[in-house]
Formats: sequence, structure tokens, C-alpha cells
Amino acid sequence: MRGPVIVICDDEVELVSELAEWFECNGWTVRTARTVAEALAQLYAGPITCLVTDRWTAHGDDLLRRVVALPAAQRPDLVAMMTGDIEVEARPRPPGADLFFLKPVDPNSMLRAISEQLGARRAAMQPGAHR
Amino acid sequence: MVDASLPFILLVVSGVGLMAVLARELQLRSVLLRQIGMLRETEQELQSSTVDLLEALPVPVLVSGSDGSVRYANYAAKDLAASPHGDIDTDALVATVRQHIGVLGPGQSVTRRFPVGNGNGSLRDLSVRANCIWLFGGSAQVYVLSDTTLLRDTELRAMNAGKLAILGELSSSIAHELNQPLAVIKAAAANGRNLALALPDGARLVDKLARIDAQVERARRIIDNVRKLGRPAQANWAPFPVIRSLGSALGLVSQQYRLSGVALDIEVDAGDDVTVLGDPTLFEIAVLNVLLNALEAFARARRPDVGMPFVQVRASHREADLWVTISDNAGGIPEPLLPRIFESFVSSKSTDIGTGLGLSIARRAVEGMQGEISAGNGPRGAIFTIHLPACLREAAA
Ligand SMILES: Nc1ncnc2c1ncn2[C@@H]1O[C@H](COP(=O)(O)OP(=O)(O)OP(=O)(O)O)[C@@H](O)[C@H]1O
Ligand SMILES: [Mg+2]
Repeated sequence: MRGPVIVICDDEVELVSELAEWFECNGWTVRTARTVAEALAQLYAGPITCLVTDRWTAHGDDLLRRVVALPAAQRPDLVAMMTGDIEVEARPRPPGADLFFLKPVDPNSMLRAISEQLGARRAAMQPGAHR
Repeated sequence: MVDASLPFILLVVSGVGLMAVLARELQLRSVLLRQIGMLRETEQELQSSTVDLLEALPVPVLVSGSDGSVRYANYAAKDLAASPHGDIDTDALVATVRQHIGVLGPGQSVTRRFPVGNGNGSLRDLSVRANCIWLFGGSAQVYVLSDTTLLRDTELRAMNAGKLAILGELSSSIAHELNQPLAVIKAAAANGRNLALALPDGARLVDKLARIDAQVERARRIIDNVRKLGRPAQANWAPFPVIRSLGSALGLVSQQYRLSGVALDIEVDAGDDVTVLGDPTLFEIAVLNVLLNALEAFARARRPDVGMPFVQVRASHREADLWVTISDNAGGIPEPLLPRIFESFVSSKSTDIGTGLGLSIARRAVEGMQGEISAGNGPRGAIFTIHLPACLREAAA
């Protein structure tokens, strides 16, 4: 098993590399993307557990709309969005994003939130669980 | 015989002629004198009606001689020259005006605008139109004044509003730009911690990384507060039920108060129908910042002699005014800080808990709603007063 797979999409190369190192250290397989096109290519290429994307790099909600439109097999289990634009905080959450992080995001809390959310989904998917 | 009477006749004739001339002259003189008298009367009448006219003018008018003595001041001018204690000093006012304008020659006129001390430490802005004309029987300096203080204040406020609007726009993008590198630093520190933990002597490195992380957190809070501070006034403000907003601000802190053992004593003498024009979120932020300060004040300087810690919140509504008073018994605001307490980055707290922006945000929020916030020290602790223009919501039709 190579563990869960995460795609980190941000045009800030240094942030991508730090977050990649963080998730790798915590047992994840990491793919990176710097544009919407690269992120979509990663999603097409294989089953992805989680997509984390910067809001700016994702052209606002554009990438999320495309992800929602993907065939189920290519859709990641979880989509998280992060942004440095605090004004976004006040707006309604973009449809298609399960988690939302404000930069500077604490990698620890990010990892915890993602794992918890995935755990909750798995529990809900268990046979016998109420759907 | 004829020869002897001729000189006599000539004498009589010339005497009669002289008398006639004298009589004519006298008549002319008396006419002239009458005319002069009439002219004098007219002048007097003119003068008194000029004075009546000047007195009735709502603008302050001062007349001074070339030597600087005050020859006349109308009612409005005396009003302007009155000190807060009620003494009227038109001499001082004329002296100040002359300092700025000098002495004008006949036919000259100028307009100047300058500040004048108010006797109570504040400055008044005057605009003065000066003329040199013939008045009260001599050459006089006539000053027509207008108090442009309000105008100046409005101009200043407009300028500040402009600056703040720009700051508001800038601060959002600056916040965005700064949060980006901060995100990298935070993630790098987290990775560094992982690496340090694997080192034999990594504990000290872990401490350093924790410090980096805490400082990033501090920078984030400053950025967030500066952004709130610079948030431009909303054009689409609406009347909101202010007591309900007060309630939600109190609700936000009540748990923290309970946990810290600080009693909240609330008394509201205003109905739910009292509204204030503005942004309820900004009002809540203002109240929240004051309430949090009170709580923090207990944590820092608990005086054993003040007894059970409590914060009193009083709200009352009188006609067009809403008053909210928040007072505590935590010992008060440090006296040297008091005059500058609403300024940005003024704080007595350590950098990990205070940015010194809480009260400047509160002030900006309250003043944005045309209100005022003030701070002072009572016998037991700090007293904050928020005053807002309020109105009653009309009953729904
Ligand atoms: N109720 C109070 N009692 C005593 N001192 C006070 C009280 N409220 C405010 N102060 C003083 O005023 C200072 C400025 O307050 P302000 O809220 O602007 O900044 P801060 O609380 O230091 O930081 P921040 O609110 O940004 O975290 C405080 O540091 C404190 O010294
Ligand atoms: Mg504060």
C-alpha cells in the first residue's frame, strides 16, 4: 500500500514543496500541480484521495466546478481549498469544497482536519451505516 | 452845497450797499449752516442705520481704527470673541486678525483663512474678508469674519475617510500578499520540527521552531486586525437593532467570563425597537474588544482590595441617543497610556496577547456610525462609554 494520495495545487512553488514534504512525512503519496490544467491531469491519471488547492491558483471556483463534473472514478474523495484572501472568509463556502483553510494554514491542523473528514466518510460508507 | 453833501451821500449809499452785502452774506451763511446741520444729521442717521444693519447681520463684523483700537463689534463678533467662561475680548480678536492681515490702505481688500485659539485649547478656523473704508468719520479697517471650523473639520474628515478607504483597499491585498509567505514559513517550521525531532540534540531546535511558529501567528493576527481597521465604510448601511447586537457580543464572551470567574452585570434600559444606522458586525466588534480588554485587565492586574471581579454593562436610550457604558473593577487603565489608548499599536500587553489594535478598531467602528467612544478611570477600574445616534424603528405597517 502506498497510502492515501494527495494533489497539492498552488502556484507558490515553495509552499507546494513544504506542504508536499509535510504530507509525505505523514504517510501520504503526494502529487503536485501549479495550474488548473496540471491538477486536472493528476486527477485523470489516477484515483486521488484528496485535492488541496489554492483558491487563486484554481481561478476562484473554476477548478471545483470542473472537479464536480468529473466522472465519479476520477473525483477525489475530499476537496480542500485554501486562501490567503481573508475577505473570502465572510463569503459563503464554494460549492464542491469540503474543507476550507485560511493561509497561513497550520499544516498540523490541516492534516488532522483532512484525516478526520476522511474517517467520517469511510465510517458512513461502511456496510450497515446510514446513508 | 452840492459839493458838501456829496461825500455824505456817497457814505450813505456805500453803507447801505455794505449792509445789503452783509445781509446777503449772513443769509447765505445761515443757509450753509442749515445745510451743514442737515448733512450732520444725515451722517448721524446713516451711521446709526449702518450700525443697526451691522448689528442685524448674522456674520461677525469688526471695525478698527488704523491704530488697532476696536471701534465697533457687532453681536455676532462679540459672540465669536467670547471665551468659554463668557468674557468677551474683541481686542484680542482684532489683534490676531491684524497679525494675519496687516493694515490696509484706502480701497484695499483681502481675504485670509487662519486658525485662532479658542481659549480652551482648541483651535477655530476663521475666514476673514478685510476692507479699508471711510466709516465713523475716519478711515477704518472693516473685518467680516466667518467661522469655518465646521468646514475644516468636514474637510479633514473627508480627507481621512479618503485615506482610510485607500488603506482599506490596500490592506486586503497586503494581507493576501503577506499571508502567502507566512504560509510557507509556517509549513517550513512544521517540517523543520519533524527533522529536529530526529536529531539527538533536537529539543532546542524544536523550541526555536515553536517560537518561529508563534511569531507567524502574531503576524497573522496583526494583519487580520489591520485589515479590519482599514475596512472601508459600507455605503449600504441600514438601521439595525442595536440591543440585539449588544446581546450577541455579550453572548460571545459570556463563556470566557464564566470560566475566568468574572461576573457580568448587565442592565438594559432600551427596547428592541431602538436602531442605529451602521453595520451590526462592526458594532459587535467594538463592544467585544472593550469586553475582552476588561477580562484581560483582570488577568494581568488582579488587585486583592477590589473584591469580586465584575464588569458592568449599562445600556440606555434617551430620544436620539443610545449610551452603552462598560466599566470594570480591575484597577483601571495605566494613567500614562490613557491619552493615547485609542491609537493603533498602543498596548501594555506582551506581544503574544496584545497587538494594540483592539480599541482603535472599536473607535473606527463607532465613529463610522457617527458615534463616539471614550475611556476613563473610575475609583475601581476602567470606564468605557459608547454614544451612538439612535432612533426608534417604526412599527411595521
Ligand atoms: N478595561 C481596561 N482596564 C485596564 N486597561 C485597559 C482596559 N482596556 C484597555 N486597557 C489598556 O489599553 C491598551 C490598549 O487596548 P487595545 O484593546 O487597543 O489593545 P490590546 O488589548 O493591548 O491588544 P489587542 O486588543 O489588539 O489584542 C491595553 O493594552 C491596556 O493597557
Ligand atoms: Mg484589546
